[in-house]
Amino acid sequence: MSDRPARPQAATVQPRDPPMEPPRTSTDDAVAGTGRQSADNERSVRIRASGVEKAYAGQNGGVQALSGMNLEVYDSEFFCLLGPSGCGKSTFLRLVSGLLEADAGEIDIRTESDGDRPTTSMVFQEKGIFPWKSVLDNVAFGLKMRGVGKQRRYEIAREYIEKVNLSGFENAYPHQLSGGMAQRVGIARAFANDPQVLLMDEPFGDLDAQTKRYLQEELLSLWSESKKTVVYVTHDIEEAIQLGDRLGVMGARPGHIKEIVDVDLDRPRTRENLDIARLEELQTRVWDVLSDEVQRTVERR
Amino acid sequence: MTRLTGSRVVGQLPSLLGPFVVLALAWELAAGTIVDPRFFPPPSVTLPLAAELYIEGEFLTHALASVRRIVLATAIGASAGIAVGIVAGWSHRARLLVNPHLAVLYPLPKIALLPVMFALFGLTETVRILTMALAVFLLVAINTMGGVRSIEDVHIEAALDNGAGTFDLYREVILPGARPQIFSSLSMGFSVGFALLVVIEMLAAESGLGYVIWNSWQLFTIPRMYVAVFSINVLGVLFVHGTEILGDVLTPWEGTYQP
Repeated sequence: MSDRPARPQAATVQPRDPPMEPPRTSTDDAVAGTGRQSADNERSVRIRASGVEKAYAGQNGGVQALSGMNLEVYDSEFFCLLGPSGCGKSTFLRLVSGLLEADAGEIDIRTESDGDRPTTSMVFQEKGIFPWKSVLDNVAFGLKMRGVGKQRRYEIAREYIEKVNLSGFENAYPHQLSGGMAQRVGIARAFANDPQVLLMDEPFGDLDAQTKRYLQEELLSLWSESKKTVVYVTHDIEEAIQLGDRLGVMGARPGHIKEIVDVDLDRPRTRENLDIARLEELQTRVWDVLSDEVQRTVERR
Repeated sequence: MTRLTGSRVVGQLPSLLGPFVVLALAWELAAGTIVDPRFFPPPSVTLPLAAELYIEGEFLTHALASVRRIVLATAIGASAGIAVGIVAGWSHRARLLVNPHLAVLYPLPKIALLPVMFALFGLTETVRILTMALAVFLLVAINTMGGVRSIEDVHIEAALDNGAGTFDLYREVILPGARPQIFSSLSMGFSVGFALLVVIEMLAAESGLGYVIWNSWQLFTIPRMYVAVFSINVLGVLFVHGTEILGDVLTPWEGTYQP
């Protein structure tokens, strides 16, 4: 715990260039649902979760993974869900993707009605790509499932393989790739699907620091090119601040949003133009919110 | 792919032929000095005899009868085994239903069932083939089930997230995911199948290489017996290793196949 007094919430956020930030007044249990009206007016909401409940059946009764989970994610923003392990952040991502169904509550994703773009596409933690498919077939998989012809889907896949700097590895199998390369395949697959919302489940969690940094930059450049809405799950505070427009800091058992933090750092967040002082302030603040959560989680072990 | 398989087979030939050559040379030298050539006729006797017997045609009929049995039995046993293994591996309920039966039948030596099978179906070719097929079935079903269960949840999730339907799930994830184990069980199935084949032919058939082995032993035509023994050996090597090689070629992602 830090010895300085908990910072008052940095509530008033400087409006950044184009789409205007909604005025967020985050208090300790400010859930994104509050102030919905103003948010709607100023920036369109892409994902709205309200009152989401999810429990898992266990041997000694169930485990409540999420309870009273409220969240709004805006269009084209890079939203990071941050929390200790076991706080239900991956569960929430699976509810958004439709892989799991909520017990109660609603998750609405506003979709544009153009063509057959999938609503969401997920990048998995690790091993998310098929070991029995070549890089090319892995990247083209979602397109194949949507019935895109062979020639066309390989064309699209090649384009994204190039974008993640894997040209020349089209016919390689995952076992021939390093962890970082394999994760790029997963990212290329998700982008090739051209989803309206990109979901990422700790995609760089198992990579070494340098590879991680490099892939984060690669991801940001892909993101700024496509302007997709991203929900990015991580337990790494630094990563979340490095990447996100806003952070949803989660509390555990049952999982819920504890606080929304605006990351008012200019992009690109390179070493040269990064406001280090502000970065540290944000880190401290997030850590303050998280530390008692983490302590609770650790004590339970 | 065929060309690659060809080069793989050629590449393996020395290691497969080597033991035969070494044995033949040692045997040739030992016959008449260390071992009794009446019981252990040297290759210089058996090889010309083999050529003679095969050209004559009767031996070829026996060899083909054996091949027919092993191929039919494996085809029936393996296809049923793959089907049951996939369903039981995928569905928890099906597994609860099927698994105890497999577990009880698996350790039973299938040859013990031969009289029972004859009692049920009469002394027919069907029984010979079905008994072998049962052994192959159990091996393949249990291993396929294991293969399906070893597929990581994240691959199922990834397929569903990318919009895969039930059919896609089988074709794109479950079958390829279980394929390495399916092929290794097929290869084991052939070796178990050959063991059963010989015993069944010795006990209850009028044709086949197993029959020739036992018949030659009783008639004391020892060189003929060895021709049959080595014929079985060669067939076994072909089927068992052929399946392994085919499996390696069809699972290139395993990285065991180096062209």
